[in-house]
Amino acid sequence: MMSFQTMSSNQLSRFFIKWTWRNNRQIVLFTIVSQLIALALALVTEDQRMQGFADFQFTSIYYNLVPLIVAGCLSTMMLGAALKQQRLEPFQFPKHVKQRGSIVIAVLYSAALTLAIILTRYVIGIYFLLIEPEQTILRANEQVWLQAMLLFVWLMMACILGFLYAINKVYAFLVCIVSLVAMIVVAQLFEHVLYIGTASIAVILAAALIWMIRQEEAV
Amino acid sequence: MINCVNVRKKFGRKIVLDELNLQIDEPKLVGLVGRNGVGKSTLMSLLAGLEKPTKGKVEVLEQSAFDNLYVSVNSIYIHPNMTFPANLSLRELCQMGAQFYMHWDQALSEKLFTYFDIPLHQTFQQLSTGMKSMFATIFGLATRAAVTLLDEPVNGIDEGLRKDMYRAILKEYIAYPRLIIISSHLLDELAHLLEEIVILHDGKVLVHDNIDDFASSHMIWEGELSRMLAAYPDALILERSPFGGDRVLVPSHIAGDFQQQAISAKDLYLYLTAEKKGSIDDVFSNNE
Repeated sequence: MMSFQTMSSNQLSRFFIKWTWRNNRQIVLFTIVSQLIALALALVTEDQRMQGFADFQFTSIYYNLVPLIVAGCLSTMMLGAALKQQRLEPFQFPKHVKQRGSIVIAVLYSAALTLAIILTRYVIGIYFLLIEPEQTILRANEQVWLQAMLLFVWLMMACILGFLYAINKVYAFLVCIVSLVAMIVVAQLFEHVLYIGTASIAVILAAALIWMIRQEEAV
Repeated sequence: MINCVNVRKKFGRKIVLDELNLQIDEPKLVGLVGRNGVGKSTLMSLLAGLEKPTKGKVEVLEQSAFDNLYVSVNSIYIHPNMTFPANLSLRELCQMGAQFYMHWDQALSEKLFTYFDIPLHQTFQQLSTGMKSMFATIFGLATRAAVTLLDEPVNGIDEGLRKDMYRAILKEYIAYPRLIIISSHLLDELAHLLEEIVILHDGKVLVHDNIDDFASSHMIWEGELSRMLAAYPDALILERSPFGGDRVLVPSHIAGDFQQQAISAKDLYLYLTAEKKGSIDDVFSNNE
């Protein structure tokens, strides 16, 4: 068996990622359960549209996806907090291995969740196309990759928020408030609020994260 | 095996260790003692490579300790606030230990876990305080790491099992000699295990000596205080009695015509590190 002390940096990172996943299995479970609940909510809402929302068109699929995205963001936030708090004692991996491993996990998880949510959107679309073809206007538009990118960025931001939450809860809430204010200001000034707002909040969160980590290291 | 040169460690503005020097070159059972807050755990963290010294050099196995994989896989630091990965069973932790530490002794760990009735299907967080200490200490021994740092290894363990645990540490050390540094406030219980003692005081190493030599380095004189101080002015006054029979602590090589008593390593350590701030009785007498 290969000894840890002779392993390359990549091999060590793989071990770190593997052990981190083993130690955070409950997040995978949480993700699946919360996505299933959000999916059920989306279907129930859609099912009720003829009763409660007479003019509700299939474009509402966008809105029905919101619970899925919110649940996804909550899961990634939990993952971020878990990664930041995790120490894997007494197994001391070098700092660069821990940092790289945590980034790889956050990116892979967010990418997989983005793919799952985007696919879910089309599965729901196909489902309604099958049961109510005459009322369904499938809005599978050409900007799917742009939407996937945007969703991925939001999930990564949720992960950063989890990191911040693990470092300092009060600061994390303050950063949330600052981000909301930034969103309102952006909405007043720019037409493409979603893109510019996302970019500005991402910058605020990343700056806050870098500052807090530096503060932590200075202690 | 370990070498600390002019080590300083600050947390914020508080200087915990200052100009600390310590060198141990061969496998030994060493006791690290000191009063609360004197920096024992900080020193162990530095040796384990978890913390970076503010100034100075900390080397373990001839390599800089901080953030060093070689030091990580050849040393283990067990401490009372240890968490272990929270969602893994103890059995899974042992499997990881066998992968991480080259000399992991599976047979030893299994026998000790069985003897101490540790339920391996549970997670570390589900164990009681004493069970946590037992698991962590057994884990530390099973790694057979060249440098084993045990900070309060019997914390919360009942007295009967503490004796067994001390015996397990001793037998394991005899079978596979390595540097084992044990930090504990229970020096009277530990003294028979130890070969050397390191006393930290005011952020520095006050004493680093063979434990028997340390205990025999001083003795107690009993007699009339003025005469004893005349014979040795630097004597440490231990006890004053209105009926005569005052007691002072003096180095063993000082000759004096007084009643003499040997002193235990624990008592000597307590006297040498005592803070000169009166006694607890003074606190209550002020209220009366």
